[in-house]
Amino acid sequence: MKKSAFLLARVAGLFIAAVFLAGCYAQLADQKGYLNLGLQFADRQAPAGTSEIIVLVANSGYEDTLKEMLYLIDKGKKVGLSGSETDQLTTDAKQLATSGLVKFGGFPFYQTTIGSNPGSFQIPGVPAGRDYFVKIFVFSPGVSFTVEDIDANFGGLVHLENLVFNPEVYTTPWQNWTLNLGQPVEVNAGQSVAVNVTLVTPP
Amino acid sequence: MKRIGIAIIIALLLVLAVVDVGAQSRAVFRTVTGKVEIQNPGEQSWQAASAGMEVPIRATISTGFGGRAVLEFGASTLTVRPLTRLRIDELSTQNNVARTILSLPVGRIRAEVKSTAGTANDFSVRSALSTAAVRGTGFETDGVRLSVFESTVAFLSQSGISTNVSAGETGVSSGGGSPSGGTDQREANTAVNPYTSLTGSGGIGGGLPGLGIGTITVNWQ
Repeated sequence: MKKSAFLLARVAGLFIAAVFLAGCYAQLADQKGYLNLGLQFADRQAPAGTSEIIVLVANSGYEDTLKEMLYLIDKGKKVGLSGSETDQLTTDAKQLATSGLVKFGGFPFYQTTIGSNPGSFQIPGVPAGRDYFVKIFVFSPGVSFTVEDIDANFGGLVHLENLVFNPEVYTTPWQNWTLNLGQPVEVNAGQSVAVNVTLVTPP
Repeated sequence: MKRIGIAIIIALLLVLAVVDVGAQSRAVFRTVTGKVEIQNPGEQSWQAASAGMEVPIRATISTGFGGRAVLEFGASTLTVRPLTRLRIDELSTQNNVARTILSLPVGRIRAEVKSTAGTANDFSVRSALSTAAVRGTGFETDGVRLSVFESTVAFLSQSGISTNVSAGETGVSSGGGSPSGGTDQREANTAVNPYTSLTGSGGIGGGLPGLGIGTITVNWQ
């Protein structure tokens, strides 16, 4: 595997490996940070007809960081990253994971499953009084995969996603990306706010 | 004879003053990585930058997707991040104060401002929305957000309202109003919910005391 692809996968693994920890009901006390590849993971497979998803709920104050990270991930998948870009991607991911994303059970993402037909799900426990971006990654349905697969093929595992920004592709500088309709959403105490997303094949 | 001696002393002082100005009034590329270009004042064309190249006042620096450059301003250094456009508006030294003014229309830079013996710094970066003015410190800015990693930076909105942002803190300017910064901004950035429980698929309950919590309902298609 190319070095850039490996490093990209490491960053992606920051978010995703913890899904496996949650799925395996690993003890939080056994973890160091959000990623511990030293643990043994069982294969994980979504129930028939459903797909595993992870949702990043990002503080809107981190808009630029989120943009740059998505830009670099897209660029990394398509043309690869230089050393400095890989460093920047790592910096962005760390900054988001440590302070820009709402944590659920200690993990910097929300994890659930969805079916094949349009529907809805709720993300409870979001700190009120702020605006958030909601970024969804849907993994290929029925796919059984391990940590090694994630390191090797993150792009291949992400089946669908919603686009928070327009155009959200690396061929346009992330500084020029604009918000899609409905983003971000403001969360108020004791209330539920709706966000409508369209899941598409990654551009 | 006495007059000649005084004239020589004055001449020497003038020479020293010129040398002093000259020492600060230079910006030089220390390193260049990827596509980095420079447009000299009064010229339309761009030329590739290289390590050791001097950057004249009013020149504009542009970095590409993977481009990155480190410039030296005397003892201070400036890292220009990818996809940045930066103009050097002023480099001067007067009364032992080294004055540097940069314009940042787009992109991100990181500055480490250091003083040489006997010389103070007046270093500022202007964008459409804010001005970051520093004296002997380090910071990173894209013109809207300011992250300080050493000492304190005065962060001014375009209307001149100032907020001090200290090391480890960030500030955000939206243009006309008072920039947010310091502890308030740090808490706004970082006070996400670390106390949600690990039950089933996702967290329920918890929240930081006093902040309250809400729910996001995602309707997907």
